[in-house]
Formats: sequence, C-alpha cells, structure tokens
Amino acid sequence: MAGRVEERGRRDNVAESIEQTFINLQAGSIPEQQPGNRDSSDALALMTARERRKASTTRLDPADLPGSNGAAAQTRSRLPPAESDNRRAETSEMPARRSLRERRKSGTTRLDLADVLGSEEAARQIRSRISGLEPDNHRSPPSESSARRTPRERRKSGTTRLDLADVLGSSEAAVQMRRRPAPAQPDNQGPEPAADRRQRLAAQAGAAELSEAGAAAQDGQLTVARLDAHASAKLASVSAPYPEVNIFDNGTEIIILADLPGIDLDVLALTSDGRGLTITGKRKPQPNLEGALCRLRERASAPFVRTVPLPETLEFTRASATYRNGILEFRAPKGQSSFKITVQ
Amino acid sequence: MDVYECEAEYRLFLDMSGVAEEEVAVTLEGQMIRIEGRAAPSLAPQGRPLHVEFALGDYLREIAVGRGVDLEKIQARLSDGVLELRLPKSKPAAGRKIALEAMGR
Repeated sequence: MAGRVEERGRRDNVAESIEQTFINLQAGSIPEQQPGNRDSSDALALMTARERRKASTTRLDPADLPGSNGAAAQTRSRLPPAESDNRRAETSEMPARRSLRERRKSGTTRLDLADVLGSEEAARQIRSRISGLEPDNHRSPPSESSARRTPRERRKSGTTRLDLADVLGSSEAAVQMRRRPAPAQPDNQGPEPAADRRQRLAAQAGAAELSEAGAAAQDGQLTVARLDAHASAKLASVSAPYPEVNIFDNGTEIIILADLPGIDLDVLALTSDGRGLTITGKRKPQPNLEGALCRLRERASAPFVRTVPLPETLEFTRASATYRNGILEFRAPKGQSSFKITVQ
Repeated sequence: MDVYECEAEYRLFLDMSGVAEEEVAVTLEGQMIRIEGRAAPSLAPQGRPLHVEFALGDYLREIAVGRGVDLEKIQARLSDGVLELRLPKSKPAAGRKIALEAMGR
C-alpha cells in the first residue's frame, strides 16, 4: 500500500509537469496548485487508469494525465469554448474519429494529441498555436499555391492513393506532364508567327544578328530536329524538370534564366503559344568519345522539353534571348501599354 | 561531373553554369585537383523573383587523382559553362637497374 502511494506521488509530479505544459500553451499562466483539492478528490472513488482498463473502458481522459479530476476540470474549462459544441458534433465530424478503443483493436494504437485532450478540434487549435510560433517559410515557389500535404500526412488521414505528383516529386511537375502535348504532332500549322520565329532565331544566334534569308534556310532543318527532340524527350525525362529556370520581374520586363550548360545552339528552340514559353533542345555531344569507357556519369544528357508558364501577356515582338556561360536568358517586356511598330 | 576513360587520357566534364573563363581556377595540390569557380555577378537576380529553382553561386570541387596520371600535362578548357579536363595517363615507370656499390676489398 505504501509503495502504491509513493508511485502515485511520483506519477503526479510527472503528470503535473505535463499538465503545466498544456495549460501554459493555452493560457500562458501557471495555474495555482491545489494540493488540498487533489487529496480529497483522490479520496473519492476515482479509479486509476489501470483499474479502468481492467474494467475494459479504456478511453483516456484528461483526468488521467494530470492525475486528478479537479485538474481535468481546469483543463477542460481552459480549452476554447467551442470544444463543448464539438463534443456534441463529434459524431457528425467528417471523417468520424474512432474512439481509442476501436483503434487499438484494429492495431493503430498511437496516441494522439486529440486523444489526450478529448477532441480533434482542441488538438487542431493547439497545433496551430504551436506551429504559429515557428516561422513556417520553407521555400515554396508561388506557383504552387495549394499547399500539398505530404504523402505521409495523407496516409494518416486515410487517403493513400499515390498521385502522379508523388511520383514526380512536385505538383508542378505533374501539371506539366499532364499538359505535355502528344508526341508526333505534325509541325505544319501554317506559317509560324513572325514573332515566334524571330525569337527562336534570336536564341540560336546568341547575341549576334541574323538575316532573314539565313533564317529561312535553317527553318526546315529546325523543324525536323524539333520533332526528334520532342519524341525522345518524352521517353527520357520523367523526373525533375530540366532545365531549371528562374523567373524574375523587374517592373518592365519578365526575365527567365535557364540553367543550360553545354547545349547545342543549333537544336535549341524557344517557342511560345501564349500560355507559356517552351524550351526545347539537347546537350552538345562530347567530341571524340568513341570507344571511351564511361567511369562516372552525373550530368543529364537526354534531350529536353520544358514549358514554363508565363505570368502575364508579354510582347514577344520585342523579346530577346542570349546564351552566355551556360545560362540562357530570355527577356520580354510586359503588357501592352506601349506598342512599337518597327519600320523595316 | 562526368568521367570518361580513353586510351591515353582521362576526360572529365563538369557543369559550371554562369562561370566565365576568368573566374575559374584549377589548381593542383599534391594529388588533388581543386576546381573553383565564381558565378558572374551580371547574372545575379535582377528584379523581383517570381519563381526560383536554381541558385547561381560559386562552385568548388576537389578530385583525388591516382598515380596513373601524368600530373604535369593536365589541360583544362571552359566553354558554354562546361569545364573539360584532360588528364593524360602516365607511362608505366621503366625498371631501373641498380648497380652495386663497389666495396673496397
């Protein structure tokens, strides 16, 4: 009997400190100790958690944690007032939270904050309060607006169906894969708009100027090369988007930088269909490597296609592109406020 | 980095986007090749970033070179953001005959 009392005393100390943590989180104040109440409530017919478990009602209560019913009442009263409503509405909560006993039967016995506090709503509130303390700004690109819960979180809530985004690693990649056009599209959609063609040729020539005649001669070759790149790129790259791009907005222009070291400028194509900028190309094959033994390969080498969604309507007639030191830079002025017509 | 072994040399290709020729340094320290590169500041972000996937920064990589390489004849070349290193293989050292010292008798 004496041993029992000692054990309970120790447990109370530990439970007390846990109770402190919870209550501090909510109210920010230290509750007054009420040793008197505690003793008297212990003297009442309070079954310990162990005894109750024997009687096979295993639902944990906040009373179990602090060690007494009095403190439990305090905790409950400190919880947000909506909690009592939620208890009533708990059965209609979707998805209905199974009681601890059912979950233990089915094998998932991991205790949750909601079990301790008694309701999912309270747990959510405390979690949001905790997470509000730490800055939650892991770098999330603004294009991924809807935060995507990790597969682990979704598995917990019961929907474990893997998605294309899980396989590819990001929602944006999944969107791009789904949007990718069919491979063997014939490229004779009438004369290419002059703006696109000029842009494409500007990309080819780097910073140098290109005459119209020379441009027309290269047109036929470029079309064929682009088809091949499309087809093989579809087979090749299914993983992280390549090339990686950075998009900047400096007030008057949209600037897109693409990380493309060692590419073949003859095959590079920059086109746009109004929805986005498409970069097609392949890396320059290294010369004189026949018969060589490859010891290590870390770099990507497949042909690539990537469509970068453009944020606003851009003036492609005045767009320019340069390729320097492995970085492809594409610039286009924004908006249609000023309209320039070049006289030839 | 890609490493290829040809008959007479090893060839290494390293991606260094945004690095101009004057900003790259290839040094040999003992048996290690040290490659450093600094991205050109003209390519630093201009304007408000809308979407950033790669960082344009400095590069540093050290490669340990074994004994089969002739360290005197290493060549390097940078073009379009790709650094190519050629490491010629060394010829196997010919055996030397060591003459005995004549001991006075």
